[in-house]
Amino acid sequence: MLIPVRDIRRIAVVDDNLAVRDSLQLLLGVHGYEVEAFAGSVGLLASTRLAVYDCFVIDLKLGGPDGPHLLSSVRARGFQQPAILISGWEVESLERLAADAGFASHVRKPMMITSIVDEIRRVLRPRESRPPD
Amino acid sequence: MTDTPAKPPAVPLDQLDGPAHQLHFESILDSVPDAMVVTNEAGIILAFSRAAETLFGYTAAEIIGQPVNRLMAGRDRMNHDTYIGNYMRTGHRQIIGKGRVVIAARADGNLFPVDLKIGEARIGDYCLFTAFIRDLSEQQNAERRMQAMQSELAHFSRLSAVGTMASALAHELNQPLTAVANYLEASRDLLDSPDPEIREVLRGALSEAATQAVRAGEIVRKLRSYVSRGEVDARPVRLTALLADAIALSKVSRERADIPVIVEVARDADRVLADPIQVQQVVINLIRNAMDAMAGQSDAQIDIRAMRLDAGGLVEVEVCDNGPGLSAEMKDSVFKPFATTKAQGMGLGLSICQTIVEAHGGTIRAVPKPSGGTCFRFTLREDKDNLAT
Repeated sequence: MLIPVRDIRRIAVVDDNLAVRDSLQLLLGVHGYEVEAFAGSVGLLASTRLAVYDCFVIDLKLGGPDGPHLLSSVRARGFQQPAILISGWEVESLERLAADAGFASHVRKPMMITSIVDEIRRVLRPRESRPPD
Repeated sequence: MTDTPAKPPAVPLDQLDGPAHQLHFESILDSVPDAMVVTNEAGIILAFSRAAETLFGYTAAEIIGQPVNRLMAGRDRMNHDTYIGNYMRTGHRQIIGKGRVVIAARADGNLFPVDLKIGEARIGDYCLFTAFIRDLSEQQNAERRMQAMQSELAHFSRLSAVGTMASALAHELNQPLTAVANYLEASRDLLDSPDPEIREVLRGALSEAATQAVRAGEIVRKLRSYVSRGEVDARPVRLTALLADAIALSKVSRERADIPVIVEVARDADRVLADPIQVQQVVINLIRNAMDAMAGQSDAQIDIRAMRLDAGGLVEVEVCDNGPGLSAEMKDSVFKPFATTKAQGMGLGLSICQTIVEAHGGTIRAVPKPSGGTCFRFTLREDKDNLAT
């Protein structure tokens, strides 16, 4: 079901794979989020709208600087919104890597076990006045 | 475009039912990844998605109310009115429901190839056409990237072990699979909506999911054709040297590199015909599997033996562990792709080993070791011209 668009949450997705970007854009759009997708670090950092996003979804390996680097550049500019690290590489310590780099959460591709939508809800929850599950 | 402030495109309210519906429709216009253009039967643009704004360089506000052929070029521009006219008159579908490649024109006059799919929706007396437009220039770039990655993968696998190749492959496969998972999740959430536009989005999402699933299959197929690429460069090699290299390589960056590996090659089994790099990959993979099977075992040991078989001019190589052995369930599926008990594994290693061995004219099988553990045995052709004396 589509969620009525009231208080729109904006998500920036950074992934170098076109199909992943497209599918996330649709999925998150269906769930009422406004999504902007970027193919790499440069695109996101060139955006003058970093402040408008409620959450960043960032792929681990990007062409150029990787996801943790990108997040630290974002943080260095003073933006503190929660971020989720996604990865299709089998990194044994993805949990630690994500936590060390300041990500609020991580999701392993192909996103079949953990739903990215659930994770976004979870990291945005403190701002939502919803009863605890 | 991504830098301009968000502005919902104007949607003709009178063609739709009420504000809730319009909110849905607007959120679709904002989020649908392909450019989406809705026209009426006169070819006048009624809605223009955010992605369409980015693609064509028009804002929704300036293009809504204009004829849709402003977005087309050449023959397609001239013929468009004829297409719609024919369809309205005769019901003959030239494009509706099918996809095709056409040339589109940007606001700045640049032309580019697009994949165009058109769906039709009847709302009361109105007939609306919804076009989904995908920029093929970007897709062509993606294809090129994919090819570059594949050749990198091919190069990579020449130098390193099957395990490493499988991990790169896992990543390659994860991308389309992620898209499949996302498209299907979105589809499930759209399933109950009766709105014709949303049905079109649903149709698009499902067909994208199918495309990406096929792509995942392609990746596996290409990999198999790579490793089994007919012309195995089988040449006379000494098995002792090949095994020594494989053992050394299998210990690179492994935690359990201290597990003893005992090698015993019968004197009449040393000369075989093999592509040494490929057969090395088989042995490395078997050794690493054996290491994994004995994780945490203090008495772990790997035995590698090679002996000449009496019949068929074959040499058999076995790699044995003293781990817990294969479960009955795994015994039958161990060479099937994606059969794995490893949390981090893809289940491709043994499937690739089988492909390599068979391309060499041999066979591979798993047999339980009476004293506990598993032996993997594969055969190679002996080098008749250089038999040991």
